[in-house]
Amino acid sequence: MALSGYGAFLNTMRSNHAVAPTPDALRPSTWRRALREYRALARDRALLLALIVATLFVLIAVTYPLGATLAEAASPEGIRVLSDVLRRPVYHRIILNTLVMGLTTAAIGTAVGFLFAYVRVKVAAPNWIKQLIHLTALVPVVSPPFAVAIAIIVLFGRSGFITHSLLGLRTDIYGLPGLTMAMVLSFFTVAYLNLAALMEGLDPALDEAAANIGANQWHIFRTVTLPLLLPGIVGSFLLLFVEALADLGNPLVLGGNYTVLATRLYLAIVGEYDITTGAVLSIILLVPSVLLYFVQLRLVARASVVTITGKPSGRAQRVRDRRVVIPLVGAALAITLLIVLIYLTILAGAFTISLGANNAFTLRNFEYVLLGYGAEAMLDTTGMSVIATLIAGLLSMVIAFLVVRGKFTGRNALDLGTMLGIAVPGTIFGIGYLLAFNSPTALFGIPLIPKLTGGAAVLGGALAIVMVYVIRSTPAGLRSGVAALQQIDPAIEEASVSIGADQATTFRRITLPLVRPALLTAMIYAFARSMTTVSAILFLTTPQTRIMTQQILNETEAGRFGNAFAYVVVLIAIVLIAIGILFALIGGRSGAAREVIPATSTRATLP
Amino acid sequence: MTQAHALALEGVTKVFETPEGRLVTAADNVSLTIGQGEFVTLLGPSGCGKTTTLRLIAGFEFPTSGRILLDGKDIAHTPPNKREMAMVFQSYALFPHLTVFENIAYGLRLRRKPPAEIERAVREMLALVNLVGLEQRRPAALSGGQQQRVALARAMVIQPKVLLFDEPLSNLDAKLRVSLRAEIRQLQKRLGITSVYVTHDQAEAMSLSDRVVVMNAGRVEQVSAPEELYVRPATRFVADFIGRANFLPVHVAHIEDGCAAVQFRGHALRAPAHPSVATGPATLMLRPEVIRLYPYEGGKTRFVGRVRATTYLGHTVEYEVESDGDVLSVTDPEAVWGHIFAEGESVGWDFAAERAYILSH
Ligand SMILES: Nc1ncnc2c1ncn2[C@@H]1O[C@H](COP(=O)(O)OP(=O)(O)O)[C@@H](O)[C@H]1O
Ligand SMILES: [Mg+2]
Repeated sequence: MALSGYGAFLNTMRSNHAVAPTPDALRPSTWRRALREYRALARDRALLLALIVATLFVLIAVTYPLGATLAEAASPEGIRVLSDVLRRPVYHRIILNTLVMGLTTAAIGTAVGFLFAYVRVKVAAPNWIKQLIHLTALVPVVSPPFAVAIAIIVLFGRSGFITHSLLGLRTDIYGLPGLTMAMVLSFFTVAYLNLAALMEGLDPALDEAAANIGANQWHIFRTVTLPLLLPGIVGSFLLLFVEALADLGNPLVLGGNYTVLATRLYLAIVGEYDITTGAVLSIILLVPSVLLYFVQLRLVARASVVTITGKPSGRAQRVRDRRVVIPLVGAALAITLLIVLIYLTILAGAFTISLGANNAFTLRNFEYVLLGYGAEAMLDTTGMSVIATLIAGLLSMVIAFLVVRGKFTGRNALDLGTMLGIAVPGTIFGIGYLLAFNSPTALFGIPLIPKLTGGAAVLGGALAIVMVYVIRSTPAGLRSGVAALQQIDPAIEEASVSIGADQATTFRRITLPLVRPALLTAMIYAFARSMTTVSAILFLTTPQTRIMTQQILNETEAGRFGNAFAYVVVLIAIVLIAIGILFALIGGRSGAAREVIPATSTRATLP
Repeated sequence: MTQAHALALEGVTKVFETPEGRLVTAADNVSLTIGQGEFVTLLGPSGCGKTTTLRLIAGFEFPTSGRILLDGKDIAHTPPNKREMAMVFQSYALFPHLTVFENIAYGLRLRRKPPAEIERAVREMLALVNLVGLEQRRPAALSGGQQQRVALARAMVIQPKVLLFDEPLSNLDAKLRVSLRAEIRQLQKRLGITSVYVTHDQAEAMSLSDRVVVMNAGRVEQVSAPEELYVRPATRFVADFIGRANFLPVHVAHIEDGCAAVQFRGHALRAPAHPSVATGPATLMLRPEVIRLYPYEGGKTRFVGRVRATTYLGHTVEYEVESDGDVLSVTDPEAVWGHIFAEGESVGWDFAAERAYILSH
């Protein structure tokens, strides 16, 4: 009795403190607050475990290799290389090349994306045309990045099917023009998806209001549509710029003498075994990429806030003026046709001995891929992608849950750290993994991480490759998970907890079923991305682990286009089958189908 | 009926830090005890800390200081799922992917009850909340009132030690609110579950509760039975929040048996007073319907004034009367059937002192 009285007395003392708060006396120091938050969080074991796993994932798989690259670049040797790079004209040339390529690709790619989006959303055109351009624009999502590049060589190269056989020209497709074409056709999809989503979100009432006060279509476009879309356009431009900078596959196949940072970097590692130069070039590539990536995330997010304001009212005004419709639809159809032609070439090339030179039908290419040398690569790649898909799918939902629902200091850091997995060009992760994991990692003499890359690596390097697959695909899943969770009333989860479920049970039985469409999106994206990724894993493959995309590159460099095409066809088929399976397993009756394409503002294409 | 449980808050304070770094004391030294099977309502304007207090009890927030006792055991830092309470939310918060049956069965399945028992308990609940026949529907196919009944059943079926409600009727239309609140009260009495209910609607609080806790700016202003609250408010804030009130300055001469002898405008009165009242200046609280108006008869009435505004409302008439520099609100339902004073008319006014109440400030 006396004791409880004393307790009550103490409590009164403490709360008297709060009655007249002197803010600074009451304000807990930041670290004490953080500690309290973690203690509160640790009350639920599963939540604590999830946080630990997510944090370790970001620390080990994302930041540690990046840190290793930074450390290498900042070493005395690295500084020497850097001053060398900054001085020598050959590097000036490379940097200039990279910038020109990036700007050209970004400008043309955004324009094409805008054209496709505008025709699909804002122009009065037959529905089949809209469907056709939509589906065509999505094809690059499921195909390896340089499939387009190889087809361009076959179609437009020195002995190209169109340029030589049909027109009798001897063109040189290698270099900037061919490269830009390949990159635009590989990357414009993101711009298209971003801008189409924004245009659909434009409030039709705006159009109507403008039309009511007598503005003509062009005036509406210039004064209403364009300003509202501007952040989205700029965002897409930046994203494409970053993509182009990061891309390795296309420049390797089509670059010729036009050297860019990514190819120089590749050469430094693979040709000269000079990892320091690789690290220095990585940093030069890294800084603008990461900065611009996060700027564009902001821009696109802001644009959708501006445009999507509650329920659209009124009916959208479609552009009907023939002088506008015909050129726009014509241009979009021409590009669509080009893409169709490219993929038909791939398909045809897979079934011929040597497209252009010897057009005889053959199944030998597929024999090679399916039954011969390629079978192992196919199985390895698919197996690792499946594992990565399962991990990335679950991990992205768990991190999304922590980021949206968690109340702890550092959840923004967790979000940011996860996003680095895609904001940083893949090649840099390749180098980072080599630097970080080529020898076992120990802390204070305690072995922590075994050797993951190179000869005698754990599981023949498969672990490192799966890690890279996961870090590259988790960011997109995170964004769609965050978007989905923000739509769900937190009271639903609280209701579950309040009647006795712990966080883990609530997550499994309530949250996960509710974010199923986002999970499906995340997994489809993860699988497609893992199967088609190139730049991040080129340095990580070992003789024991063969990767399809690397095989495609090898076959291309050896001039065996038939095999390369057969690989591409098989790869696309595997991705499509996997999407079908995922739909059957997770899609269910929910509205999942609407959200298949990776959420806006994540990289939907593949470096 | 199972054993009911008692809840107590002792000096509970919750300080939030806003994202901008501002400190907000959402619950400020809140102390109250809730008896076994009692229905207590937290009532107050928006932002006064009702939800925060409820969430502290539920365990979704943890107090900055103070203790929360369930049957004498401090549970202030027990996770919410271990407190054996259940919460009913304003937004219903049903599990949209589960049927009505599975929503209600959720808590029982968590507790691994045998299927036959689950079936029996859920059916019983369905009958209690009048939802028989809807068990296979999804929440989206139900009306708001039906959804909230499912939520109620889902919370009650686990026989929680304490039932918590956060404005459960605010999303419903007025008629439904009245009928559902009667249902809630009936069910709670029948099952005898200790309940804490949050609302900003005084009619809801009055009609549902054994006792009402009036909160203001994070603090408890008064804890009383509904009947007490209107006639004996503890503070000006409560008097003003529960209905309307006129406040007039008086001087307390002395206090005796809970009544104060006061001087008001030269007249000596004896009126009931709040225990905190001491001799010296104080406040006279008059409800608008306590004041009677009379035709002006020069010097015959105790107080005089002039009608500034007259509002005819059908069931009653409202006046604004200016008197000695004060503006009084007066309502007179009788006026509907008799004489209605016109604006600008001089009137006499009076009140029965036993219907007045003296507040300390
Ligand atoms: N999580 C929080 N962070 C910061 N401030 C909060 C938080 N929750 C509530 N508050 C603040 O605490 C005060 C009380 O809020 P609340 O308990 O929701 O009031 P009520 O339910 O009575 O309307 C408000 O000023 C509100 O802004
Ligand atoms: Mg509230």
